[in-house]
Amino acid sequence: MRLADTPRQADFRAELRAWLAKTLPELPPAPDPADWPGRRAYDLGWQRRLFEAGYAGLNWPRDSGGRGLGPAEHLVFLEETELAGAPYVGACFVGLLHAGPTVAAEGTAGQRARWLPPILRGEEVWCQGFSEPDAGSDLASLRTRAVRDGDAYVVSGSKIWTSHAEVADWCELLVRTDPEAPRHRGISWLAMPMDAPGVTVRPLATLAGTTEFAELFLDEVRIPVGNRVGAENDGWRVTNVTLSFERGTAFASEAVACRRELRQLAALARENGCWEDDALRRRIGALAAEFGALWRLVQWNVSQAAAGEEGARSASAKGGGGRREGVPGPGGSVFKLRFSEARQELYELAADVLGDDSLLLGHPFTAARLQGLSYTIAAGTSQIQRNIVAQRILGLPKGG
Amino acid sequence: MTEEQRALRDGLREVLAARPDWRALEEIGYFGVRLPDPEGLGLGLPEAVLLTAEAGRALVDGPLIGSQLAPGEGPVTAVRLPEARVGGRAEALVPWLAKPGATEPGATAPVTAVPGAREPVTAVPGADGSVPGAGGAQLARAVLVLGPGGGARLLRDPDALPRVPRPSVDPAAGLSAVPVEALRGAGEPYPARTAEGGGPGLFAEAVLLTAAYQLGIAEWAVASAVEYARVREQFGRPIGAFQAVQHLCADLLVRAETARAAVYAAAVSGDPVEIAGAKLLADRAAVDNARGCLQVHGGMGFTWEGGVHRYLKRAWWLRRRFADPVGCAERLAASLT
Ligand SMILES: Cc1cc2nc3c(=O)[nH]c(=O)nc-3n(C[C@H](O)[C@H](O)[C@H](O)COP(=O)(O)OP(=O)(O)OC[C@H]3O[C@@H](n4cnc5c(N)ncnc54)[C@H](O)[C@@H]3O)c2cc1C
Repeated sequence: MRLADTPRQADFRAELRAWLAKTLPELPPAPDPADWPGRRAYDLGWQRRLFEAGYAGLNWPRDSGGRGLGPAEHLVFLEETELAGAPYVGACFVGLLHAGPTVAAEGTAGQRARWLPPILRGEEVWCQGFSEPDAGSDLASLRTRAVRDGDAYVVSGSKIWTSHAEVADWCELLVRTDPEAPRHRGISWLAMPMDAPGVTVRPLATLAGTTEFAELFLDEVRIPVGNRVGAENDGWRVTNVTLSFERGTAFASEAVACRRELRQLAALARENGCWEDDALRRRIGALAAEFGALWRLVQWNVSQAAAGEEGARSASAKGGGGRREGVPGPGGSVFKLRFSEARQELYELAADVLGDDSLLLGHPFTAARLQGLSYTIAAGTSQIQRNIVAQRILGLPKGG
Repeated sequence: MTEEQRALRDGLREVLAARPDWRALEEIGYFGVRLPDPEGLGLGLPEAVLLTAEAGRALVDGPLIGSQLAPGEGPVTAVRLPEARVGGRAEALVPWLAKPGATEPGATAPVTAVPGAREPVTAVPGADGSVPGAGGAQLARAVLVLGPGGGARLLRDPDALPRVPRPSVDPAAGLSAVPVEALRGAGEPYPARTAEGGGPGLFAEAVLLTAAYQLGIAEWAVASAVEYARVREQFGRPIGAFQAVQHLCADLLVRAETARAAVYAAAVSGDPVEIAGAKLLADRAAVDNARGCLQVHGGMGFTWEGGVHRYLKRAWWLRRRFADPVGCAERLAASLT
């Protein structure tokens, strides 16, 4: 694992830092969290600026509109944008970190040309239609049916917890194309236009009071067969390619965000006198160690992946790194597990530093504390992550 | 627990199951528990604690603690002037529960028919102003400012307090910022029960009753998590069959039972140190259990409609009332010398 920048990376960092210092003050004010169209416009606007300045898809292949740089530059980008307080990917999350990389890795040339450039240019928003009411942790039990009819699939069923669905143009949709096959085998990955007839979006309010996600009802939605990425009934593998591709980096910026928030909290504690409280101050110090280590873990995971794509593959062929159940691979699980719990600890600590102010709905740390309650649930619960770590890394037998 | 106490508790549980609101409490005599017959029920602090825990279990809104605290002396809202933990701030936040009934559809008048002490009363921790919830909900009719020493002052016109309403994390519990000076020395002395009078004193009672409400939240979380774990199926079986979920639920029960032992014992002994311990453990049980219950509910727990969050938010809110965990822990540590 390299810790110091190469001269090329150092140049890149300096150039990016200067660009951020110039650009961020020009940004319009962030929209209200409840204003989804406003958030869409804002997030796409930021992505467009990145694209125009040459910072979009740094690590995407050139033929997908990316810059073809290495993962190290990508990490520099994540670190610098987070530290500078640049906007979060937000509505662009699924396109940039999930659907895009899947299409890049598994799509045809035509599919790459159709879907990737608009993601990088900040023109189209994607959402993720994986979970169903009865298929959450047990994603492979999904039931939404796709029946082939000529050159289209006719899709019926429902999805739930679909983030950004309200403002998405496309949905990466997992459907069952072979009900007879074993659970993991009969699934396909489709790109569904959200304005197709038969798609109904019902927003769901989160405990923070905003509509972060939605239910999708699919009633005989016709999706061209050409929108399928990967082979029919091979969607589970396609999905896992994305998840493994992204493990360690989809949440990488979060590790930097933690460090930034912890520094803000320390400043707050100094201001309001809590810094004199030995117990509180030490908790802040201990979290600093943890967030530092989480960032190092991201660097480690990424450098391992970059150096040993082949090694990782052969390990998985031997059964060491095989992935199932639609959740990130084991290495990512270690990060995801600790990141989500440590960040929630940060917000509990913030509540103790804030005192009564922690009861104010409008306070940024209160909003973060509420939103943060989802970290141990979304993208695979902490219980599921522990199962993965125990069974796939430690090799313990599967239990109840 | 005596037969009578059990009957009282079960009776209220039944009533609240049908109607978890202020009027149901009133019906069973909650606000006059400690007033002598025939005005009240003539019972003691332990009974008040049992009933308050039931109110917490049902998440009854309204200024319960303060209303329970000040029997016999007219409408009162209890507010504690905090000793600011670190540094002094010119303003502090005062939580203020929206007047009961204010959230009920069609309710126009607050509960004015309740005579004397049974009027809405709010108890407030660690802060110093007061104001109702959003939308200009009515204030309680008076403010009782509790001093940590047991003394109290009564403000009969809380509307006269300078205050800035603030949005509260708990949608049913309002918050306002009020300048500390506005409360200091305001109002008239209130003949409160003091520690010298034999019992724990008004302030400690407020701490204990708050702990009781938290205990109720903790107990609700156990029941709710276990119920969901029995019915929600993943991987072809109830999630409660997975050891991870079983351990989550078991931890909820252990926290609730420990808190229950502490709260009940403190209610009987009235010992201030035991009360501090009860608050500490009940706060922890309420917050951590509501959190665990939310986790057991998965994505459903993160929704507004699922409702688990209301318990968590109330638990966060009450954790800061009258005695926060740091204050309690310091008190307990000091008792060991
Ligand atoms: C904010 C948020 C955003 C989301 N966004 C999306 C999205 O955009 N697209 C999408 O497809 N999905 C999304 N999800 C869904 C998310 O992936 C699921 O909520 C998650 O996988 C859990 O599924 P569930 O909610 O059905 O809970 P369940 O699977 O019902 O789990 C309930 C409880 O049981 C436990 N449990 C279940 N199985 C086991 C087991 N085998 N061992 C031990 N414990 C177990 C869980 O840990 C949990 O505590 C989102 C969720 C949230 C909260």
